[in-house]
Amino acid sequence: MKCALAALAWGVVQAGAQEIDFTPGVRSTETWEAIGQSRVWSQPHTPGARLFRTCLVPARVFGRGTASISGCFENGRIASLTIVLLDSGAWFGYVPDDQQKAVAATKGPEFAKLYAETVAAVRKELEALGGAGREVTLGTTPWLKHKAVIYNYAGLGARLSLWPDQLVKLTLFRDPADAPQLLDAWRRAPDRAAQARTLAANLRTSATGDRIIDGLPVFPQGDRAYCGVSALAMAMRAAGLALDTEDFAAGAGIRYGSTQKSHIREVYTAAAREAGLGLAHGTRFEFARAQQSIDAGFPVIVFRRWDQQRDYVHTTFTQRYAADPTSLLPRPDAAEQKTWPIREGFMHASVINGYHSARREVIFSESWAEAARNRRMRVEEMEATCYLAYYPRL
Amino acid sequence: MRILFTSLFLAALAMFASAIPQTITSGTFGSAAGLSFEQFASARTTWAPGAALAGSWSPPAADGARTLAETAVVFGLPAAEVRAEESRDRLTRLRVVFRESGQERRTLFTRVTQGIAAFTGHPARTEDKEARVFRHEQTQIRATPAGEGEVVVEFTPVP
Repeated sequence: MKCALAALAWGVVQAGAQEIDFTPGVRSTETWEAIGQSRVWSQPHTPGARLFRTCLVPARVFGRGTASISGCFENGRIASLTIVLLDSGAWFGYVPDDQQKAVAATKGPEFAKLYAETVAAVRKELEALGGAGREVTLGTTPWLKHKAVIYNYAGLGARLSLWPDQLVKLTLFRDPADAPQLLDAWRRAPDRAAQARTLAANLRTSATGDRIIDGLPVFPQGDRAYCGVSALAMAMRAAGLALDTEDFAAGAGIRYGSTQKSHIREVYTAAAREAGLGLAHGTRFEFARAQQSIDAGFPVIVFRRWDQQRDYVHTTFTQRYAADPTSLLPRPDAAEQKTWPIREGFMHASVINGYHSARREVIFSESWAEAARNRRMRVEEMEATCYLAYYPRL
Repeated sequence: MRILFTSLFLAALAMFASAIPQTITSGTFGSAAGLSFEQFASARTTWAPGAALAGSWSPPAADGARTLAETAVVFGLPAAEVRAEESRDRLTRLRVVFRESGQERRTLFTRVTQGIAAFTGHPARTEDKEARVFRHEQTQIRATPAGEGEVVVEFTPVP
């Protein structure tokens, strides 16, 4: 009965407002079934027992607006909810590198004040629910080690992640044992062979011959200079490391909306260490090596030159392929190769989560939205435009 | 060799600095309706008698043509200029001009026609030095190199 009332309350909030109040979901798991079934979530364009969904409508918690909310769903049920209460990247928005100093000077103090206020207010609310909480240090590597406060109440575990002057994030776990851990339960088990089997089980060969990793999270980077850290989060969540885009951004020091003087390389290495993974890298994309990683269930992260027109070609082709799998990307001739962004163009990170060797295509996903999942590109183009590739392994 | 590799790797890492935001791809035309310019230009209803022009356009100029008063990304490339020509009761032609300076100008025509081929799903129906002509549903799309760093694409209804 209590559960039904909670669901009813959630529904009323949904129906009557353009903004959703998630506070009932923070207070207890009783509303989680209703929350999980509501239409506020993105619909991942991938099968999988474990899927990550993003809340698509503005949301509030404890009377405060949130930067984002995402959920990890296991067999259709919410296993954890991640609520970003304050994120430097979202608050400042995308800031070109040459404007970082000016933005820091004019808006930095305001953000620092807001950070302090948010931490105090959220801790007060959580203390009312679960007592003083337990301060812990999460992570062991210098770049990703950070403070968090763990609360246990109403049968759930809550982790309040605090990155000074960067990030306030609340993660709620159905299983309280997960709250103080950076690794998911299946990765904490000592049997590495079993972990390898779990990862490889996400690999599927489609009817058209695609070798593709199912269940890859797509974390929208939004208007933030976060493609590198979002791609890392997508790959690492798939590998069982419970850190998010915003954690990696904070660790890398992406401050005041800019990647100026950030430490993304160090954070990549640190993430792999926290996840207990190897992370080979190279300045060229190697298709054979990528196939090995993907066959083992690990997505590959590529940093590549990007331009809008090539993006259009890949997007349009992917839509066409979905309707007609006999469609082919043209074999690139010399004239086409001259149009690829090899030296010029923006730098961008993407996640390769599949391939089709006979068609010579890689299947990649962007940290933008579900619509940017499973795009297709000729291997030759990836080889020509990639300048850095990461290949995780167990 | 190791030093060379390390140098290359560090140079590659320096490139992290200019990551793009998610919103870079959008022009303003059709953003509210979720309709790209080429989708609008290829829709049968766009050419129907009495059909209103989508988007914001200037009043008719002396030659009767209107100019698009908002930005548009067409076939994945930002348009420099978009004009609409009308008869008494209907749209007769949409003319999109792409301009590029610097080294990019050399590949502009190839990039435009790549985009058209990706959109239509097939290569040009006719192809010569003057122009490449595509067809998509009831619309003909003609791409013409119009001098150094300029390409014109015209949409017309198929007779």
